[in-house]
Amino acid sequence: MLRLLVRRAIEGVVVVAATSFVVFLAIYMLGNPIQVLASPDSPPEVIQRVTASLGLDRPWHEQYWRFVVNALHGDLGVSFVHAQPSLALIFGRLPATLELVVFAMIVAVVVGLPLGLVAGYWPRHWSSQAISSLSVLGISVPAFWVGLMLIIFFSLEWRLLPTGGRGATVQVAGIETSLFTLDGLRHLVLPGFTLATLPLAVIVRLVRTGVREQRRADYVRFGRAMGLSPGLLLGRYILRNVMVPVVTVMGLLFGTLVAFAVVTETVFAWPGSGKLIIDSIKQSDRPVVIAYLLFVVVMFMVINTVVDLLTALVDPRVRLQ
Amino acid sequence: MTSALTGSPLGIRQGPSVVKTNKLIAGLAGAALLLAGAPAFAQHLTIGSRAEITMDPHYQWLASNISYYRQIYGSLTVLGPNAQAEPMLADFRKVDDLNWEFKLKPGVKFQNGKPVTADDVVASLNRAKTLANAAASYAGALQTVSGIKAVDPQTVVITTERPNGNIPQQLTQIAIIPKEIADSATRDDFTSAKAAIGAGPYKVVRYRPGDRLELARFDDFAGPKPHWATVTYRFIADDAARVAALLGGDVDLIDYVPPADLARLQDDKRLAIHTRASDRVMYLIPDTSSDKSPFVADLDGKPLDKNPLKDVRVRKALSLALDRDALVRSVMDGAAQPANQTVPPGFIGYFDTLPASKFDLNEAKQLLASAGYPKGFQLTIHCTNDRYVNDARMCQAVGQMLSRLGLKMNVVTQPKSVFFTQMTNHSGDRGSLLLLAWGSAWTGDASGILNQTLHSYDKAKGMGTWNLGHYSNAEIDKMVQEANVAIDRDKKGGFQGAALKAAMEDYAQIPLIILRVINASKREVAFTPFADEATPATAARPADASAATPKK
Repeated sequence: MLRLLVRRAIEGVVVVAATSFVVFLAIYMLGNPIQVLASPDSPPEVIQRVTASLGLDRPWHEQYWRFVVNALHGDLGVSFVHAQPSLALIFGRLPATLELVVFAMIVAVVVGLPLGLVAGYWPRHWSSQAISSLSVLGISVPAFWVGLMLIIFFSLEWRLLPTGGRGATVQVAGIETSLFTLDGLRHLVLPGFTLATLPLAVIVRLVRTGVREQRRADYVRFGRAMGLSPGLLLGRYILRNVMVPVVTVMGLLFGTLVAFAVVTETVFAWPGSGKLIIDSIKQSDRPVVIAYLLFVVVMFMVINTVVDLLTALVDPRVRLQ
Repeated sequence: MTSALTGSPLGIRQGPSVVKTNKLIAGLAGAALLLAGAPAFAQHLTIGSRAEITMDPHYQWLASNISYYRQIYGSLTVLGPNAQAEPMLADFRKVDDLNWEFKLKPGVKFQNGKPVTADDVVASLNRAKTLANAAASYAGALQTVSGIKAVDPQTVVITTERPNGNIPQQLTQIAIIPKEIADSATRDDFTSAKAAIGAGPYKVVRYRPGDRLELARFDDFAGPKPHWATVTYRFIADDAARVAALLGGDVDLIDYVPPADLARLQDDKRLAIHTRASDRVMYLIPDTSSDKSPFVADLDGKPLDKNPLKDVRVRKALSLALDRDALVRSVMDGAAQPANQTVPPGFIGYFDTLPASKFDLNEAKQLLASAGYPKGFQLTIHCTNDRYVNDARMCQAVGQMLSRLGLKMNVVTQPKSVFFTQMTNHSGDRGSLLLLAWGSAWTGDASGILNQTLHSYDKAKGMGTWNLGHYSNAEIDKMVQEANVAIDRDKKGGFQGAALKAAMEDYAQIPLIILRVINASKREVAFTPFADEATPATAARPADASAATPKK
């Protein structure tokens, strides 16, 4: 296991270095951001002075070198818009996104797993057919549409839930979270379910397919012949065997949701990191964009490593190397 | 992505709701009522705002920031609804052509209880001018200022390098903070609201990045007392989400109502619309300087040996071919008005007697023929697609209208980062026909449009930075320079008007439309919209007299 971690760490450094280079160069090609950021009423000497003071008039390799040196000192630049270090900005917004994603993943697993088991075990039953069709819908319908529909019915028509924003928060272990206040949960329901649509549908389909395959396996036939109840068979034996791909895919989905909850966060004005990145791109806030992309790369590598460890935990046959 | 969302949630009208509630939902709704408590409406206002605040008041020069700062920090002068500077913390007078005196009003206090002194003002102005790392520096707002001096504890004298009648306007942009904070505060101090101490009518209670800003009335504010005891700004950048928040009753007032939703919101009995002409005019910039323009060709795509846009008849033909009423109707959903000059009415320098822009396709075709292009030519129009309201749609509509004139049009829309990088390259190829908009609010006159977009490009003097067609006319330059040193309002307006008229008659720019400011609120809230799209809580009040008495 140690070898795996060391290897992953080395790979990680290489990937981060390569990404930083590509991202930096691509963004550099967009030209001087001050031109877009500065008020058009600014006289050119102000724009020149600011450009020079931020080092944006230097050739690209000098700028990149400075960026690398600063990054190694833990400084990924100060946001042009928010007057804050970009990493601090991202981590400041991350709790909001994480609680949204965790909520969505819990919904997806709690609802999706049983539905998938049922749909896979009794594939011909009408309810299973319905579950399958709905899961196709869940995969293909875009998140913003789901979000808007939920807003129209639950907020505008029936006036049950707020249209967006994050509710009251409390400090839990030093982190602001809205998971433990009633107001917070009310605000979380609609965006949470919107974000859960995709992983829910994916879980249903994965589990359903897995169960259908396992159902034909010898151990299941024997179990049925012995008169084990379907619940016991599903819960104790089949479930463990279908969990391996589910854990892998959940890990990737988790990362994707954290990195790109952009649409849901935009529709619900949720103050998370996805909204931060989209606003930063719109405002040419270059340091934040670069820092965010690097953060996403690191996050995916960590998640992949965790998924590998979890897989070994779920299925002892998987060897870590 | 966001444009796809615009308007969608409004498709369903409010009707009598017959709902089968299950227990869970009923429970949640009950809880909601409990949480909401008694209606605190008369004292509390929630505003859904497109733009978030930058907490450090001297970091990013942006009109939306100043809309917040004018309530929290305050400034020596402040912009009124018509974008004219009014005294706020100080009264001002001109000492001589180069010196302005600002005398702090008696009793002006910071929110920490200390009086505002001339030293605080000097420290604030200097910080705004020199703050490190500020990408969109406020230094531009203090252009021509060469000296800032405290002559006594109440008085600051501002000296300019040339006569500049715009000094009171320029000082509306700079927030005033205590000297000790200006000298020592760090970025984090502002973000945590620790250093967010000003002399405005509202103080910061809490700032949640990306989400909301909570304000409470500062009762020792020297000026008029605002109605609302507490105000919450919620940052909702997405147009559809902002409108939904108003419809859902989560916010009381919103800014930047998307024109496409205007009609539906107007029909809603629970809401009120507050609208006026904005300070922003959309216009076309033809390439009037290149001998061969980069995006002009003959009908077969071969380069033309001369630039047709240098011919004033061709430029006039372009203008005549544009049906501005149709642009207002179809592109802006009625939320605009046709423009005949690039400064909106009511601003200094607006030329009253200039005739309205005419739409006459036949005359346009004749002009084009007499200029030697009876069959037209090929022309590309470049526009942004994420900078102004409906910019990409406007671009396409203009392209279509010009093809009716017989031109073979290409329409190119680009993200602003790409567009501005290419189009502000003064030494290379830019574009042949560009769509831009210019807001004149912070000067309240034509000086921005004249100095930056019509005066000949002159890098050394900092003139014509946004003159992207490199239009050059010595007579206009002269009038612009005379207007710049004229301090008397009428005299300045006379020069500016004359320069603007000359430029419009030469079709140096082709004005299209004046945008509208649209705010929407619950019916119970009245609001005075601002030309610069500011949405200060101080401009909102209860709509009817009965609600106006604060409930204790």
